Amino acid sequence: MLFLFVFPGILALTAIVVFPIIFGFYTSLSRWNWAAGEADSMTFIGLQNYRKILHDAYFWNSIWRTVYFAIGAVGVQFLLGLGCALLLNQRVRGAVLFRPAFMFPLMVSDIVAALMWKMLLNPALGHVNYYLGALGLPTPNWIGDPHIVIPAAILVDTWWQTGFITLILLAGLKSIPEDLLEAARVDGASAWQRLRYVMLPCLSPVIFVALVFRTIACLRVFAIMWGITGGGPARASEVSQLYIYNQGLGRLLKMGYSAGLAIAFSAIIVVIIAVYIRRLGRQLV
Amino acid sequence: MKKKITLVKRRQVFSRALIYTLLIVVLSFIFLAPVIWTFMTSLKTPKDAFALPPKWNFSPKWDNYPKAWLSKDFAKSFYNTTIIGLATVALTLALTIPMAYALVRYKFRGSQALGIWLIGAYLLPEMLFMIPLFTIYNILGLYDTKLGLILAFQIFNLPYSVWLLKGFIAQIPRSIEEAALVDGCSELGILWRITLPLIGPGLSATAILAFITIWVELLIPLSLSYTNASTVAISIANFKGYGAFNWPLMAAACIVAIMPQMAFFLIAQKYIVSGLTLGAVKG
Repeated sequence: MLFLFVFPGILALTAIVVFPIIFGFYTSLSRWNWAAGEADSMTFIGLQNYRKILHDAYFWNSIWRTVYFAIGAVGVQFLLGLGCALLLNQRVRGAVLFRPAFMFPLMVSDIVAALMWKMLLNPALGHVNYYLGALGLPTPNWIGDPHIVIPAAILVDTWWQTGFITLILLAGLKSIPEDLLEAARVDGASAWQRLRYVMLPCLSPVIFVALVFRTIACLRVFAIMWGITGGGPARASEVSQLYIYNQGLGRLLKMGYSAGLAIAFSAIIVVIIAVYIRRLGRQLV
Repeated sequence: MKKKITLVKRRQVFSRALIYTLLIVVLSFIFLAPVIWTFMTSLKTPKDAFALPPKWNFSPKWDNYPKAWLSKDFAKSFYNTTIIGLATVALTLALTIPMAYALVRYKFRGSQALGIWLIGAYLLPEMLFMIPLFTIYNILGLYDTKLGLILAFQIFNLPYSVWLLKGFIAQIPRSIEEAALVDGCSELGILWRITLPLIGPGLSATAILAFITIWVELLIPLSLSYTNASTVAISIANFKGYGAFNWPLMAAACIVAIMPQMAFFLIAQKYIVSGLTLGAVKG
């Protein structure tokens, strides 16, 4: 009976998860360049693709860009999200009415967020720069300056996903027993001490979940870069998934090489996940 | 003396509440502003949209909406996404309900490993699957078909829905099911007649949340469809080229795409926190 319950799911997972990974690995050991008319002829070349990947400066550039983006975005979102959650948790009349506004960006999909900000951040015609200029602030070339483009993507992602952290931390804050905070208050703990020694330890499992999900999502970022900059200028925003997409089915159709890239990138992600997944698994059960 | 202190304290509390309220209002505005701006842009003429300083009084041009709806296969992609989404969710639930039930109720060999393995698959980058699936689909003739997308969406929807359902099933006391077991009901009968009706709201939340993930997913349809089976995310992305000259149309398309998502979120709002964290955090 048990077998019957689990079997269809396992079968489906084998077909759509395990088989493509194995086939992808097999592909990565071949030269299979569709743009060069090799769609029908796969040539086995052993580990050559991987050797090339190790020395592929663009690949390592993409990894560095991705990590830069992920650390920046998750860091900023966490601090801002924690601030928003604490703020919304205050007993202020009418605060509940404003809560949906904080979560609203979550209802927008990544590609829609990208297109909206593509217009807003347009260096010449965008209204962000117009109002910054009107206030006498610097008006950076968000999309055209290689040094600014990742911070710009972090800005967009922060607008888009801070609500995720706020929402989750708010749920965590609600579950902290009131008498615990009251006891700390009676013992003379300052607001900072209550946050540091009572709230944050209570929140730590929830913070962990929020950070893991955000980190993984940011490492997998695609739509924001693809939609706003297309990876430019000068590959400054070419994150890993975008680079792999362009090498493979998006542009160059180098199937063998892009399959190798996808596996190399996934291996890096797996190393990161492996550190967390046991703890995540325990917490999810 | 005492009176004075309370007065000072009260003033302090009041001014703090004022600061909090101000902060909340300002932050709300910042989070809403881009969407409000997009909505306003969607009602302008291209010339007004490009005008600097920004124009605040303009006569709204509502016909940008029908225009957006009729261009770039937008209407067709709505139909496609609905069909693909419903079929995907139906298949996902059929596969995952028994699986989640077994994972919760039986500790069999490898059950924990299976659960962790599922999270792992859920967290892997899309491109790991898309490159091989693109080649496989081209060989099998599944490229740019609805069926192809329905199968590909299972990669992430299966683990997602197993974990969500696990959370809902675990909340049902085993004793209720055991009573039925004693009365001679089979395990399948229990799942069908007792457990499923009890997790009804959780089940519909899982279905809606899974549907949202399909609605917003970009990379899977971008990789595996072209024109025939393209979804809403793709036709939105096709407006990208309009950025050069027709902002209002692009903005209108964005607003139209947000609407259904908003509706789904409102229906499932009680479960969103669970939905965002695979059930790790309860809202």
